[in-house]
Amino acid sequence: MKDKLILKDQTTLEIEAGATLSAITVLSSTKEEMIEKWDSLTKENLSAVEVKNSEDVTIATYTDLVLVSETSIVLEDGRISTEFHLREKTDIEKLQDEVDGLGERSDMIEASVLELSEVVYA
Amino acid sequence: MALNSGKILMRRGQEVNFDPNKMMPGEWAVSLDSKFVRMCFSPGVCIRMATYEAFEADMEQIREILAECQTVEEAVQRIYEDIKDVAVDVERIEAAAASALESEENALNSANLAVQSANTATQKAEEAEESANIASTKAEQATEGANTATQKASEAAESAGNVRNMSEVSESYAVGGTGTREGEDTDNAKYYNQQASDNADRAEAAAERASAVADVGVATTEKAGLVKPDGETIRVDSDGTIHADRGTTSYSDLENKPKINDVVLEGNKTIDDLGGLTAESTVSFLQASERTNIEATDNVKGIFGKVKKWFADLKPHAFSNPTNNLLATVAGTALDAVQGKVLYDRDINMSVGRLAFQNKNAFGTLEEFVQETAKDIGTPIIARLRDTTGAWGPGGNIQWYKCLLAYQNPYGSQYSLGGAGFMWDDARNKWSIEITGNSNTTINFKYEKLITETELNSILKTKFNHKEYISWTSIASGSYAAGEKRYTKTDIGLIKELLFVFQENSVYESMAYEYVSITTGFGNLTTSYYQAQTTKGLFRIYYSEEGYIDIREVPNGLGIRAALYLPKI
Repeated sequence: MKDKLILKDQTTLEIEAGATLSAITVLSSTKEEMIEKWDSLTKENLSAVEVKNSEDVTIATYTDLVLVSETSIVLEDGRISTEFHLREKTDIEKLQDEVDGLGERSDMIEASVLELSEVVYA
Repeated sequence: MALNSGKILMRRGQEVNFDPNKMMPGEWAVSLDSKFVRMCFSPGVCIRMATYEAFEADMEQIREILAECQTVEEAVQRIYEDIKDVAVDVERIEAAAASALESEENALNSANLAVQSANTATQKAEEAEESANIASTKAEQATEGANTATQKASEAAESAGNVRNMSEVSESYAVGGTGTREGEDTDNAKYYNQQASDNADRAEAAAERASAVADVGVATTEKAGLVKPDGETIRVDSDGTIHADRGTTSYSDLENKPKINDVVLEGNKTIDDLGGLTAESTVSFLQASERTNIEATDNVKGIFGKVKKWFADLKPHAFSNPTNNLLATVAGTALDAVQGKVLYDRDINMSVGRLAFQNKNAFGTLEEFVQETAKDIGTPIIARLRDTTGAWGPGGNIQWYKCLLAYQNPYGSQYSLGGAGFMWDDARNKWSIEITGNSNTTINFKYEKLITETELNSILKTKFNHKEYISWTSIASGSYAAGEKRYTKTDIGLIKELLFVFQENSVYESMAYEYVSITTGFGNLTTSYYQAQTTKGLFRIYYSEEGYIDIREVPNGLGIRAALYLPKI
């Protein structure tokens, strides 16, 4: 049993031993499978990540991870070895996310106010 | 023997009234009280018969003696006394035998006398016959006298015949074989004498055996003899029944070994009854207070107590696989030993200033970088120089200190900082470094190992305050952002090291040089002027005392993007 990377939506990726956040190696049987795993590393899915060992014991939890890069090679047996480079968001990035969220909330409030005004004055 | 209403009974009575002399040959005598049975062979010669019950009684008696006696000697004495009774009987038998012999002799004598008498009678008869003949001869002289003589002779002959009959009867009773009496061959003195002799022999043998028994001693390892039960493993009941406890047996075949639960212990108990351990046994024990190893001298409870202590002291991570990566943020698992080498290879120990960053894609691997001319070659990545006093430059004999370069110059030009620079060696396809300094100067230098930007950021976060005090952003070519700021003690506390990180800026990749000027006013260092000639890398300054730094951009330079990081206090 390998260690596992569990994304927010519970997508589970088996990772090779010796991983660091900047070098998480995942094996795939085909390129399609590799792309599928790559696609699962969305911003939302990386917002809450859990790492479990081979005995299903949680050894790490991360929030607000960012996918920096991906590097894939084809092994001799035809499998695809992909190294994902992750990192934690910087404070600025987190603030930016917060601001973005506030912006969305502001838009929503504005829309609500407009709607309410229409109601009042309708 | 008598007939009583059709029943055949033997001569019987009380033992005290038994008189062997009154017995008839071939007659049984039964003592009703003593339960002795005797056969009479001749008057006075009566042999007691042995019965099964008598033997049983004798054995019982012996067993009782053995059970009761405290010592072997006592047992022997008791048995001897019994034997004496036997001896008495033997004596009596012997006496009877002797009496029988005597009787036989008397009978023989009588027979002899009878024979003699018969001979005498025969002789007399012959004489009488002769006289009768004389008388017959004389009868001619006197017929009456002859007739009388004839009559007298007939009477004499008759007397002689009577005498002859009496002799045969005597002979029949003496030795038999005369044919004058039915069963005479087994009913004569000679026969009875033989029987008496045989019985005497048997009695003598019995006496010898009894004597041997009387002489037997205690058994030893060399000779047989009397033994006595120890009362523990061998016991004798009152009825003579001998009991022996189960002994131990040595088995060479393990499959036939008796099971522990089959062992019967004292009091007919099993090991379970005595609290011994079996597969179903429970052991009451207390946990040991200290975690120590079990010893051969420990009892079962002690061993279990120690084992429980060890189990209690085990921590949760003892029961989970070690973590074989560098991702862990949750406590509770141990790090796999292989990560030790990983960490060593990363060499992120900041205390010796092994920091740098590299864009791997642009520069290739730093493992290709080797130092050709410098001393003390390890795995050179970045060179930092310090003089013989151990102080990092600048100062002393080193005019320039440190260089940090991870940029490949396709033109092979030298990137140097104060005379120490990295140079791409086209011939070897490797980086090399030249070190210059004052003449006659021994330069000790040290290399720093390169790490990735991510790792740098991680270190900045943990070891430094990760706060950018100064940041210049890239600007378009032709202009620059002038920045100047002075940091004093009150602002940043005691400065031990400053870290300038020049970040990648594509604007400057085409530029050969970037400059930043740093002026320091720390303690033992005079105002110094440094030039960082690089597009990427970090620039580290070490100071020994508090003071201030002025950071400003060198005029005529282009904008750079750098950040100043201050260490955590």
